[in-house]
Amino acid sequence: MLLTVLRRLGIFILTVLVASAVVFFLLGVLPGDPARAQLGLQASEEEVQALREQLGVDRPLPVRYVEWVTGFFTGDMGVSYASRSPVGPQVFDALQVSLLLVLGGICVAVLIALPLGILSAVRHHRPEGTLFSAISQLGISIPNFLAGLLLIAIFAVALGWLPSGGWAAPAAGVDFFRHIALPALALGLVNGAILARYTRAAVLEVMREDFMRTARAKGLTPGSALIRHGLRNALVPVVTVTSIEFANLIIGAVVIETVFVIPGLGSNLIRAVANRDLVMIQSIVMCVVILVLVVNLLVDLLRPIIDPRLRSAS
Amino acid sequence: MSLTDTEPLLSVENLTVSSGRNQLVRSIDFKISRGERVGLIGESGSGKSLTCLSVIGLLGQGLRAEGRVALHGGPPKDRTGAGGGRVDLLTATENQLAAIRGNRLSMVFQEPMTALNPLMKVGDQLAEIIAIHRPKTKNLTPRVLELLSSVRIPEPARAAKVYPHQMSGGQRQRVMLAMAMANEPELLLADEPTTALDVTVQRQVLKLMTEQVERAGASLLFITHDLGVVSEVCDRVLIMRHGKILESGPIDRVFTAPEHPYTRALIAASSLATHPETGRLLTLDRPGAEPMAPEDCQKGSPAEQDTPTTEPEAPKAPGVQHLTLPAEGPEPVFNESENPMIRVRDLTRTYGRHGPFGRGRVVPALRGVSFDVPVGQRFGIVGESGCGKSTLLRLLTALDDPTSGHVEVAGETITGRKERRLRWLRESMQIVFQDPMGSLDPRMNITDVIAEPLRRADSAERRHRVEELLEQVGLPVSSAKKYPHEFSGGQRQRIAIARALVTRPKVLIADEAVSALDVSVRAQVLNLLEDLVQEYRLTMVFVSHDLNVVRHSCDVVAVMNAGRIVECGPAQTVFASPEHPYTAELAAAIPRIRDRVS
Repeated sequence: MLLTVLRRLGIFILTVLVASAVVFFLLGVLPGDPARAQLGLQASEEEVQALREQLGVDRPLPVRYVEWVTGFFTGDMGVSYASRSPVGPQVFDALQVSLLLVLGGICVAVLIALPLGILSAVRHHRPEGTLFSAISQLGISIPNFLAGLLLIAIFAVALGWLPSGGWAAPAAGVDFFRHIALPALALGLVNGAILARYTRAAVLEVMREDFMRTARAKGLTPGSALIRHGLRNALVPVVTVTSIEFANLIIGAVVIETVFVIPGLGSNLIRAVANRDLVMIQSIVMCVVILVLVVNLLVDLLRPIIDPRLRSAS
Repeated sequence: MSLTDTEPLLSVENLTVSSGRNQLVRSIDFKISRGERVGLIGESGSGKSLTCLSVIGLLGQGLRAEGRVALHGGPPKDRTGAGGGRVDLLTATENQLAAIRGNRLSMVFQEPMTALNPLMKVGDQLAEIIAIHRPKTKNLTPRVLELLSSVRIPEPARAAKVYPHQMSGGQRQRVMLAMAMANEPELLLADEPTTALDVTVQRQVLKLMTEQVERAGASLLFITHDLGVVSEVCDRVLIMRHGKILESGPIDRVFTAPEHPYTRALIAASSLATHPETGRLLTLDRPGAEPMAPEDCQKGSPAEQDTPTTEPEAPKAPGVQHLTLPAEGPEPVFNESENPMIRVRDLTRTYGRHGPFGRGRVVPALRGVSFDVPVGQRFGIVGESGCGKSTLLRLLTALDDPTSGHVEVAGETITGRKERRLRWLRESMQIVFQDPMGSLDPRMNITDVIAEPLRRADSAERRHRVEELLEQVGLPVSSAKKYPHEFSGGQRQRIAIARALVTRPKVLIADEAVSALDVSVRAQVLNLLEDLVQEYRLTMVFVSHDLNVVRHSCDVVAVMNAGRIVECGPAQTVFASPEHPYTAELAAAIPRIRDRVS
């Protein structure tokens, strides 16, 4: 068991390193000169060259890569080309915000998906079941920025219950929840609908299993058979899909943060792209990559806990 | 209990199970008395499983049961007081049924691999069934351990803590049995409980089941397609076909003097009885013809009819040495011959690999096998699951590389060759697989399935060859444009055989080719194979777990155990007088209809 965990951790570290190289070199070979971008077309070649040296972008890519990677993992992510201030603290603040938003989104998605998916599976041959399926189908077809705008229109503009944008730290208590409610809902609704379909399929599959018939033959009613034997079995594929959905949520957050004016990774990323702030872009993209990999790692370690068949034979 | 002796425990009256307008079980009646063990026999589609599921109220969706199924009174049992007294099982509410299931009625299913919850420890699953019906019981562990040891699971305390996947199929089926017997039910329903098990394991499980049922004074409804199995377990049998009970009676009477022609034919097909003159297997139906009364092709009573199979005819393989694996010393070359079609020497195959620090597990699947198969011989390989026969087959067909040793086909080495240099082998060696449902591409029509290997032929030639083959395997030419799902299991196996023969191979490998078929269809397919082997002058390698089938259809048989051939010789001799203890054990474990009769 320990060996499996260590092996999995080794793979994780290797993947992070490969990802960092891909992120750095892909962005590094893109056309566009950060020094020229800042100084504008009027600046003389000498001025641009001087700024290049100051920013360090005149040196060869591999040297800059090693410098950036060692810096990134020791907490010194470099200095922003645009604002000339250290990237580290900015990314770190934005990361906290985005993480909270995505976690909120996941909570909303799971809270929608599990009941909807299970009910539509259990009642799949009745009208309610079809209705639940139709609801999740509808949810899938709405893009999340539109869901966000609709939510703003209803809850912020028409009803005035919640703020239409902005952010409050968790320390702010109730205000934090008021601010995170709509964006988390917008983010979670669509992904919840997708997850509901997977949940439905997993539960339907489990209900056809032989051991469910055994459970009934033991004297369990259909409901208790599903709760005691079915759900945990259905959970295995659902957890895997949730971890894949997590990556989707982070990408969805980029848009939602812009809609709700939230200072997260997404809005920072968009600003950095506009400014050709390479160091910033690299650091944010790298953070997102690591986040997704960490979630995958956690799920990989979690699955054997749910399903004993995945534990290594010992 | 003496009070209810005259009253049956279960009475089924006018039971009809239908799916839409389609009647799958047609108004059947039967009764089971207390302590009686009844066998319900039928082939696939006869409605035997549906009958059983309607008794316990677990019919699938879209199936409707009508009639009356009554469980008669007995000592009142715990929980909600629903136990005891007469219950009409078809009209009972879900809660009433739940109180009865696992308590007064319990069931053992066919597939031990999937019938237990994979995420729950075995002990917990056993404890659950007690807890459901005896919620007041404190500390279930001693009872769970007692149950596990009653079904002879070694080290019950350890076994209670493992998950189902850590157990063998036989052990899981014992756990299922322990679970079914946990609350001492009045009636145990067993639906093909040993069909998925090896013969030696089957024997143990059947013995255990009889023992448990007897000890609890329970009745048994045993559903099976296997007449041999039923004669080891039951007192009385019901023969079912097309949703109707055709014959019922005490097992000795039914098996010695069957009244219904179908029963007679079924008994003949099960014991692989052959026609006294032609030596061909007696079959139930001719393809495309009306059911044939077996009287047409046989004389005398069924008891006599068994005789031809037991008397060895003229030895089918003259000059073949009967050898066994010596306890020590070098392993012999079995069935050695000059210029054989297939030559296998010192073949080994291990699975798994060493870890980076020399750790890791290595499993030897094949541990040094040497034999020859001469041209035109029908060579049988028998063994139980895990004996290495599938591995051997993969190596013979060059679908896998051996760890050491080599294989020659028609004088050419095939081991260690690149795929593109094995083109000739793919044409001259063909395989018929076990599963007729899974081995044909569902999206290809029959012409494409059969003619796929004919790459160079033009369409007229392909059509001609397909028609010729369809005729040879006994299918109408009109099948050519149909798709696999439109055929029955036996028909699909005929298609698979046609596909195998399209390249005019020299060697035909049959991998459990009749194991998934009903006994009557099995006889037809075996007859067909026999004809085609002669017509195409094939060398056949026939792999099976079924000794009777191998004995009938092979000249020479090799018995495999734990990755080795332990005995090899003429098929009749090996089974009539086995020399290796394993062969003897295997031969003794086959359930036989006649054991009962004699």
